[in-house]
Formats: sequence, structure tokens, C-alpha cells
Amino acid sequence: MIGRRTWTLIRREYVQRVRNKWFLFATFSVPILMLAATLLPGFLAGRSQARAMVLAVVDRTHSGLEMRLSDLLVRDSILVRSFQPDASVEDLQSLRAALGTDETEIAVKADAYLVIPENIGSGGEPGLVELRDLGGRIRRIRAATQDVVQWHRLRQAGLESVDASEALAPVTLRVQAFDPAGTRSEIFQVIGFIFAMMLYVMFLVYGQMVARGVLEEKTSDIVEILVSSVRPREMMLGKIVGIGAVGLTQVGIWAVVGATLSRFGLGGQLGELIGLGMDLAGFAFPWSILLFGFLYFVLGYLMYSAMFAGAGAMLTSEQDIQQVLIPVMMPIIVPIIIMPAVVDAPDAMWVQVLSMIPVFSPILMPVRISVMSVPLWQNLAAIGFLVLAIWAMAWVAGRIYRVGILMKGKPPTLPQLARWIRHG
Amino acid sequence: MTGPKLTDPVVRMEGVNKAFGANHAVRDLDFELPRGTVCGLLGPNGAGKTTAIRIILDILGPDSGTIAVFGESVTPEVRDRIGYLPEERGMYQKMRVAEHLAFFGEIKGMRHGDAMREAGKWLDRLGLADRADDRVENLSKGMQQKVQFIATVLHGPDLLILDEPFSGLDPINADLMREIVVERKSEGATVLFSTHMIDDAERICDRVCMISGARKVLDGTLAEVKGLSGRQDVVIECEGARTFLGHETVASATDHGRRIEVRLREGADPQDLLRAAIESGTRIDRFEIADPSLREIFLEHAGAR
Repeated sequence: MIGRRTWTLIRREYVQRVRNKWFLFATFSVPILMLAATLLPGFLAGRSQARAMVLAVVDRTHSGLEMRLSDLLVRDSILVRSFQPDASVEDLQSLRAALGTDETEIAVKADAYLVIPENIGSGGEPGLVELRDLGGRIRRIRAATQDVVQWHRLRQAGLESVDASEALAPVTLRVQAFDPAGTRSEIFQVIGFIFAMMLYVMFLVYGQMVARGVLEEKTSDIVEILVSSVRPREMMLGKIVGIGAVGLTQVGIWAVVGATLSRFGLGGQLGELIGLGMDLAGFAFPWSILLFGFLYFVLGYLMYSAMFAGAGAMLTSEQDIQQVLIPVMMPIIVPIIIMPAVVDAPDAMWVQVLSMIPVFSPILMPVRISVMSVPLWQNLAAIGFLVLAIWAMAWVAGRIYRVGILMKGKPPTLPQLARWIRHG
Repeated sequence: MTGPKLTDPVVRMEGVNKAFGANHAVRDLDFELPRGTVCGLLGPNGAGKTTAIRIILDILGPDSGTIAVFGESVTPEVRDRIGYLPEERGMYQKMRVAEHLAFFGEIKGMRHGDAMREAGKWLDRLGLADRADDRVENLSKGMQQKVQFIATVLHGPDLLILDEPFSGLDPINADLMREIVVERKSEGATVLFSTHMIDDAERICDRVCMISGARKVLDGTLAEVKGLSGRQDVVIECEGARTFLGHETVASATDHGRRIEVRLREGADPQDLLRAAIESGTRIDRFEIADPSLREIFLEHAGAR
């Protein structure tokens, strides 16, 4: 089916691109980024620990709340100091006022001041004054304050200190599917998300490469010699398969590097990077997800790149590139926009339907497969529709390509495009 | 060669029409290109030459009419036997010269090794052997033009179609290209090239076909085309009386002193004038029958539109 001429086109496309120094740069800078992403969080965490901050606490209940706060916050490098200003300081307003006046002698130098009023057990509210921007640590302080106030209220209600602590101990909800094979840990939500982002980026990058490659041959006037020797269909196939092979090479290199890194346990910090505190080390990746993911990557690439090739053939100059490419990019962008909702409810009817529509399935289906166990028939249906869509898209794009490749001037309007497709 | 006969014209077009919207680019074109000839496709800019060429190559489909190349429709095998140099010549700027040439040889069906070998030979011949591994973008314009020309002839095509091949070439390169065209012809190839530079056509063409305003206005061998104009001019250099200029064969005469340009009446025999001149006692130093130049014919037909 692929003739010798087409192989020549594919080989040229592949060899020229792989030998390009930008290819080498992109291919090897991504693993370096991966490595940095695995090592940097630990490094940065170490750095931020060195910069401890001081929280001064005015405890008007006089029940040792600052001790408990200190226990809770010391992990986050927040040092709690007791602060005893004069009796006028009893809520946020008075604390502010006191800190604002020169006469008040501030006994404790601190980055922030927290006041817990005496009536905290009966509707009083704690207040915090920042002298320095606390950034993300404000969340820790808020949670710890919540904890100590609840602890105080429990004790006021008559519980012993130890019992109050126990009452506040965190609860872990263990989740297990009735069918053990259907178990999906929450890690898979992260995996699904990463998967979707990777597919999204690759479809866009390689798709645009195809469109620009076509445009380049048009602007450099090389097409005319090509179309006198090979068919437009062969040209399009050469471009798509050649760049696809470049993509596979790149992804292959990344996969090898990624696998090597995770083998040495460096992948363990990826989860932490995302801020979910999950430990990915020693976690076995199901091959079925990879296999289907790869299948959708290849099929999705074929479909999107045919669209990009058609779009590239409509172009004559770089200036019009956005105008023409944005409609082509929309089907790739939409799944990313709705991704959080998909991860939340991968089984909702609208998600099931969308994930079988060919323009969305190459991104949505791999995500669903990661997050839940998708019925096999849906998977096969999505792949079947996708193959049909690729066939149709190749036909349409081929016609646009045939007419567009020799066309100069403005990109066609929609009615013109319809004519191209009809008569191509 | 099977199927098509050797006596078939290399290119045959019958009743070919092509319009882009309301704009007729080619109208009712009949054209035959006999084997082994060099044919110039003449016409002013915008006359439809490039469209006609693209139709022959099956880059464009005609609205109506039939085209046969080597006696059959343009299949991939037929394309392999054609070498085409478009008017707008692109090159892959980042490729190396030799692999660029090999690539174009290969899409014409050559094997990689053969293509590389041929590329080497041609580069050698055109003095570019030491640039084989340079990137195309590092070549001068003249060198790029040579490489483009090599890419056209590399696979030893039986039919060369060149669109404005000599425009933009410096005189040395232009001569080199003409030399190669003539050489290809002597090796049995058929050449069709479009040009609006009449001198090129007059120098190397056996035949000319002139298109103006989308229509063919002239077609035939150089001699036929010149004969068709129905004009005969004579240049005379002589000493003595010019009474013979009153002879009945003379339509008009311009006397430049020593040199006289005479236009004869239609159908007149120049020999009659020569005899009359000698009989008048004038000493004749030169008596030359001058063809109307192709340029004049071109202007006549292009201007008539």
C-alpha cells in the first residue's frame, strides 16, 4: 500500500528532522526536566525548611493552646512563641491596634501574630495579623488553629486532654471495590491527568509540525516539483508518517529514560510534586493502560495530523497560520478543558458518549481507562469509530491537500473549502 | 517499450480547456510534440504557458480534452520518464546537495545508490563536486540553479519540460544549460520549454508553439512558422545606381547608404530581383534573403491580441 516513492518521502522527512539540532535539544532536554522534576522538590523542601518563621500566639484562654499549636506546626518550620501583651489585646482589632502603636513594647519578634480570645469556646473568633506574607503556610496555620480551637472546646465540654486529642485524630477512609480486579487507587486519577496532558501536548506539537511542514514546502516552492513526481496523497502520507516516526522516536527515548529513572526510585517524588503526597515508588503500572494509551496515541495522531495537513495545505503564509490552526486545535483543547469533570465522574453518561466520539476519544478514553475500568465494548467501539474517522478524515484532507497545495493567496472561505472537497 | 508506438508524438493534447473561475487559462488547445525535437513554448506573460505545462504533467486536470504522454495517460511510470523544472524552483535549504539530488532521483523511481552515483557525476561535470556535502542554503544562487537543473535531468528523462529555464541565469550558466538541453536531445530526449525570451527559442528550437491570450496562435517547425508569416525580406549591399529598386517584386525599400533593406511583395521570387539588379549594372557585394526574425513574428501575434 505504501509505495517506494512514499518511503522515500517518509525517509527524507524522518532523517532531516531527527538530524536537526532542535530535535536533539528537545529530545534530551525533556528527560533533564524529568530528572529535575524528581530531584528538585526534595531539594527545594530542604531549602524552605531552613527558612523557619515565627508565629507569636496570644492565648487569652490560658489553657496551653500554644503548646498544642507548636506541636502541630513545628513540622512545617513554623515556630510558635507565647506572647503576653497587656490585657487590652483580646481580639483581632485590639491586636492590630497594639501592634500599630509605638508605645506597645512587642516582647516577641515574629512574622505573624495570632490571638485566641477568651470566649473562643462560646462564639469568639481567633484573629491573625501578618507582618510578612506567609504564602502557602497560612493554610497550615488555619488548619492548626481549627484543630486547637476544637480541642479547647472538647475539653471545655469535659473531656480529658488525651481523649480530646483522640477525638480529633484524622480518619482514613479505606476504599475497595467489591470486585478486586476493578480496584482503582486514587493514584490513577493523577496518572489519568498526566496521561491526558502528555497526549494533548504531543498531538499539538506533532500536529503543528505537520501543518508547518506542509506550509514550508509551499512557501519554498518545492511542492511543484514534488507534485510532478508523486501524488498529493503520497506527499501527505509521507509527511504524516515521517513526522509520526519522529514523534515515536522521541516518545521512545523519553519512555526509556523515564523507566530508568523510576527504576532507581527517582519517580517516587513525582506524586509529591503534584502536591498529593502520594508515593508512586514501587507501584506497578498496568500494561493494559500503556497498551491502550499507545494505541490511542497512534490513532489520534493519524487523525489529528490529517486535519493539520489539510489545514497546512490551505495556508500560503505564516500570518494566516493561527486563523486556520485554531479550529483544528479545538477538538484537542476541549477534552483538556473538561478534564477535571471527566476525572471526577468518568462514568457519567455525557462522558461515556464524548469519549466515543472520534475527535475527543484519543484523549478522553485513555483518561477514563486510567481512572476506571471501562467496559471493553466501549473501548472497541471508540477504536472502531476512530479508525472510520481516520479513513474519512484522510479522504477529506487528501482532497483539500490536492487543491490547496498549489493554491496561493488567502486561505479559503468555508464555501470555497466545501467546493475543494467536492471537486478535489 | 511496449504498447505505445515509437512514432507516437511524445505529447499529444486534443481540445484541452482549463478555466479558473471566469478566467480562461487555456482554450481549445491542440498540440503535438514529435519525438526527438526541441520545442519552444512561446507567449507573453500570462498567456497560459505554465497552465498548459501543468496540464501535461497532470498537476492540473483539464476541464475538457485529452492528454497523452508517450501515448498513454500520465501514470507514475510515465512521470518517472519526465524531468520537470518549474518556473518557481524550490529546494530543501537544509539538505545537503548530494542527498537533495538523490532524493529527487529516488522520487523518480531511481534506487538510492544509482541516484547518488549519478548525482556525483553531474556535480563533477558542473564543477560542484566539492560542494556535494554542503547544505543547499550555503550555495550561491548560481550554484543552486545548477543543482536544480541537475535534479531535473538526473534520472535520464525521455521528456524534459522546462518552464522558463534560462530566466534569471547568468550568461555562463545559461550557455551551460543550453548545452545540456542540446546534448539531451542528441541522446534521443524530447524537450519542451517555455520562454518569453525569443532568442533562446530561435537558437535551440526545432519547433515553436506560440500561445497568446489562452489560445494557440502558431505551431510548427521554425521554418514553417517563419514561412507562415508570408513575408520575405532581402538585405542588399551594393555600389552604383539603385534603379533596380523600382522592380515589380519590391514592396518597399529602406536605403541605409551602403546597405539596403528590401521587403518583397507576397509571392515574389527574390531571384527575379537579383537578376534585375545585376542587369542594371550595379555591383552587388551582398544579396541575402533574411527570414523575418522570430521576435517580429512573436510581436506581430502577441500584439494582434
